[in-house]
Amino acid sequence: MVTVPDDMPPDTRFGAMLDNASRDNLNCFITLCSPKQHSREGRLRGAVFGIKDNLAVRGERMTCASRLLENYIAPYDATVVKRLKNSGALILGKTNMDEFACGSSGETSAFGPTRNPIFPGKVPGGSSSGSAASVAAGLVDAAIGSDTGGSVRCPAAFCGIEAFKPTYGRVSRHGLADMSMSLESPAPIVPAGSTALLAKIIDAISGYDEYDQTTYGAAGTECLRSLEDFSLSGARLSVPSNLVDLCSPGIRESFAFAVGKLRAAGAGIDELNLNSARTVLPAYYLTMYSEFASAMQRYDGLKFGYRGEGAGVGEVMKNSRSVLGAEVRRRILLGTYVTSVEGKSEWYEKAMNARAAIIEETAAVLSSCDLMILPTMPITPYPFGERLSDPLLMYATDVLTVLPNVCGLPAGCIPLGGGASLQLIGARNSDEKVVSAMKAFSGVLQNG
Amino acid sequence: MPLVADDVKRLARLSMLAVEATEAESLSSEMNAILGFFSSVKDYPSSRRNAQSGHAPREDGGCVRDEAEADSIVAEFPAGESRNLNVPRVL
Amino acid sequence: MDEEEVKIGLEVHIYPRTECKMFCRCSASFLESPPNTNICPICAGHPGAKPMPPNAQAVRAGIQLAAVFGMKAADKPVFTMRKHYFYPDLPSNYQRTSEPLAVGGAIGECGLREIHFEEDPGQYDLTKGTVDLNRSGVPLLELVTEPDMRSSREARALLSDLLLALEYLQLSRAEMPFKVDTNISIGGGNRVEVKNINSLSGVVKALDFEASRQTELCSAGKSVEQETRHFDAVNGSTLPLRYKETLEDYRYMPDPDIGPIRTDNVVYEQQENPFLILKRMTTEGISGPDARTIIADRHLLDAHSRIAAVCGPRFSSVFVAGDIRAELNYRKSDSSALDSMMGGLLEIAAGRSSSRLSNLNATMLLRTLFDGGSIHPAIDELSGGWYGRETINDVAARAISEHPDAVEKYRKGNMEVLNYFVGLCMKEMRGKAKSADIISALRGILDADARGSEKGK
Repeated sequence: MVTVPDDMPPDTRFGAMLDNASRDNLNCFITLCSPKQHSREGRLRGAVFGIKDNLAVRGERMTCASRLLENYIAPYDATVVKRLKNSGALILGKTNMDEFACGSSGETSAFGPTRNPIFPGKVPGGSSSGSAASVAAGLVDAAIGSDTGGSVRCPAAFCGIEAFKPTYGRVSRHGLADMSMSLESPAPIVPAGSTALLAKIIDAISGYDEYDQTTYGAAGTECLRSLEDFSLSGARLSVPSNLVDLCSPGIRESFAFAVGKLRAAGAGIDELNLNSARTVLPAYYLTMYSEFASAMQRYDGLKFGYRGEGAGVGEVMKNSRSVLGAEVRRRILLGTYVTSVEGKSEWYEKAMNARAAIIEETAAVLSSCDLMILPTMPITPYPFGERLSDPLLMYATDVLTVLPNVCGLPAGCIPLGGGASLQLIGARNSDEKVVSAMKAFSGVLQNG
Repeated sequence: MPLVADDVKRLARLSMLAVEATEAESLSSEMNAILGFFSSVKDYPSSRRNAQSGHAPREDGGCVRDEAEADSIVAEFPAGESRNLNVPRVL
Repeated sequence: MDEEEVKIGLEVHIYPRTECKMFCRCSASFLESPPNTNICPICAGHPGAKPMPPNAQAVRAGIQLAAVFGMKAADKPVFTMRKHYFYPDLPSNYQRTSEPLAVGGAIGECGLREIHFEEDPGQYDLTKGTVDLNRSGVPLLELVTEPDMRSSREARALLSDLLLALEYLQLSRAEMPFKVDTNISIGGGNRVEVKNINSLSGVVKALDFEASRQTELCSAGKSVEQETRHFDAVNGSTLPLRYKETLEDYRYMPDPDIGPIRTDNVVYEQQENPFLILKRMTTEGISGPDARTIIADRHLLDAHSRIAAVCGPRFSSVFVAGDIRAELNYRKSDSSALDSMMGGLLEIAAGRSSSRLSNLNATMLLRTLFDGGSIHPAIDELSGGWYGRETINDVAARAISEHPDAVEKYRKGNMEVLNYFVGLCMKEMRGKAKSADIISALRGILDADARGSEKGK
């Protein structure tokens, strides 16, 4: 791991880091960006970023790790990218990911899997695999990924670093290639112990954007200002034990150890049973499939992207879409079924009902505590190929991270060492509290 | 109602995906397994979904035009000349 | 053919007059630009681009139109749905189309089902094989009727009423107000849809053709196939579509990127219902066609109300819908030109309606006014100096005394002679007398003389 010193002038430093990244053998990057960037004045002046390759950077390739967009150049900047640039950030590269974000391991990219810099031979997690790996390897100062069901928290956990998914609707999704519109958000990833940087990033990118009406009424966050506000002494933390029970023994042990330290620091711990726990994963996946199938309709090779051969337009569209990977195709078919006339009332409607109930119950829990805490992932990083052939095995790893997406809640994670990670979930719009708690917790839970 | 190969073929047609006959068979089993895994959602009692409060439609104070952006979009056309997008015939 | 058995319904796609597109701020004036210039990532369906909230001008237009026809507005916020299908002119391969803004109501005797907004796809030229996305995302309002119409004539009447409302409220784009899909079934048989007709006459032709085609099939004992056909404007016929439209599952889904829209707080200037104006005008004796012409154009309507205040509604309607409109048409002028001419128009109208100006003179003055010239002092000269009763009597008497042979012919029963005398008198008085007055003066003298000469015998 080679890091470039901070005291160089920003543009020079950027050049050195680009050079470094070009020799990266972790396969973190699909594209390295233009060296001709100048850092503007701003709260993130000189900060060097990796941007997940499903977020648009004007004039740069945006592949979503798919052959379908292999040569597609984005014609505009995503709002988060624009705001980062305006704050002085420099974009080093477009990071690798699971194809169209369909994965939790980083193994399904059409451009090859990303390696885990901390746990060689193990998956880096996904779908923001390259974003997390590049941060963990010191190739960038920070990265922006996207989190639909845990896609920044999972790889952050597996690479031993920090990440934060904001309250849904607080960060604009304009420029983020859709996976599931009502579940996801762009989300920052930073090195362990860099919560102050995380706070600055979230403050810079959050707030109402006229190009994403789901941000209507959203105020920008003030995470940096509130960074030291959280006090462990007297804090009430809820633990959903029936979810913790789903974890491996190793994870449960490290979680229990962490909880003990938090207790010792003055926090009150309440264990509870989350009644809707068994429907969280189904509600998530069924909603995501439905929205994903719709989002993927536009990729037909006619207006942009890879165009397949064929005699007529139907054949061409089919052949263009035939370069999509197996998981992407499977999810499109499932989404099409779940929203079809035959499947709708059985699946789509029921999933919406379940989602409403989960939101209600979780809000009730969070109204009587400061935060909900639980492990981020139910397992530690596993070897390549172990779960890839069985979608259900892969889906099961999301069981702890999907809850905040289903409910639109802010959720952060900090490393516990050994591939374990602690997740903090707050009530809607309590982003400042969650980030501040991440700082406070990190102080107490020095990585083992 | 479990999915069969014909269902998968129909779904593939609806979503413009090419699926071979043999693939349709294996996909139907995979999909049934996945849906089975998620079937707990069906037992869930119906709950009252919150009525969403609406907001106002969009008043514009004039149009926006970014020529460079439009040019970039045209540059992504897989086929065509002088700003036309050529598409294959509908058969 | 038994009219009871015919069921006709219409789906009218109206282009509301808006500055921008439905979900982005590209210009909605798609006819003016070279191909693929009036586009952005949103209306071109590029990855990551999100729709902006629905265009308020389009929503407002839909609500206003619904109010005119007594439709009931939605009582909760209105969602925008995604309608999924693959087609080259549809960038995202789904069309955004809203839940109803209003339901019910009627146009004439035909019930209305609903009205909603949606986005237009791009333009796909099948012969050239090109797609132009300039039109992609342009707002549309879709008005769906019940199948209550019984003939093409009724369909035409409904569309005329719709057009009147649109023109009066200035809600539609001038260059292309609407496109129509129509459906027709005969005698309880299958429903046939005919899509994409661009004119009222086209709708009538398509329906007449279909009605006779279906009747022929029925008479021959064959059944009418449920299908979608396309209108051949050149031959006035309908043809089956080249490709079979299989029953599509559109997988309607509320668009997660677009919040529901409140329609109860959409503010607009309340205006009088144009059909109440129409009723009032026809009660005043104004002809239906003239009333419609006037109502359809705000400037004509303003001119009419001002002129009617001076000259009465019937006169005004003929003057405005006839004379004034003829001048505008001849010059291919916009009726907004009338505003600056109002003073002159009132003077000419007043002169004409009180007969101080002859038809000929009024027309000439009107032409001068439209040419940009001044009507003074000409109008004063032409409308002033009308001769009174005494002078008319003198002139009449003189004419009679100078033409005894004509008088002889009159006495023998030749009534045409009167016109001869009127002409003589008119000439002497340079047109400054009403012919009716001249006739009564002549008759007074001639008939009195006759009685006198009889007495004398």
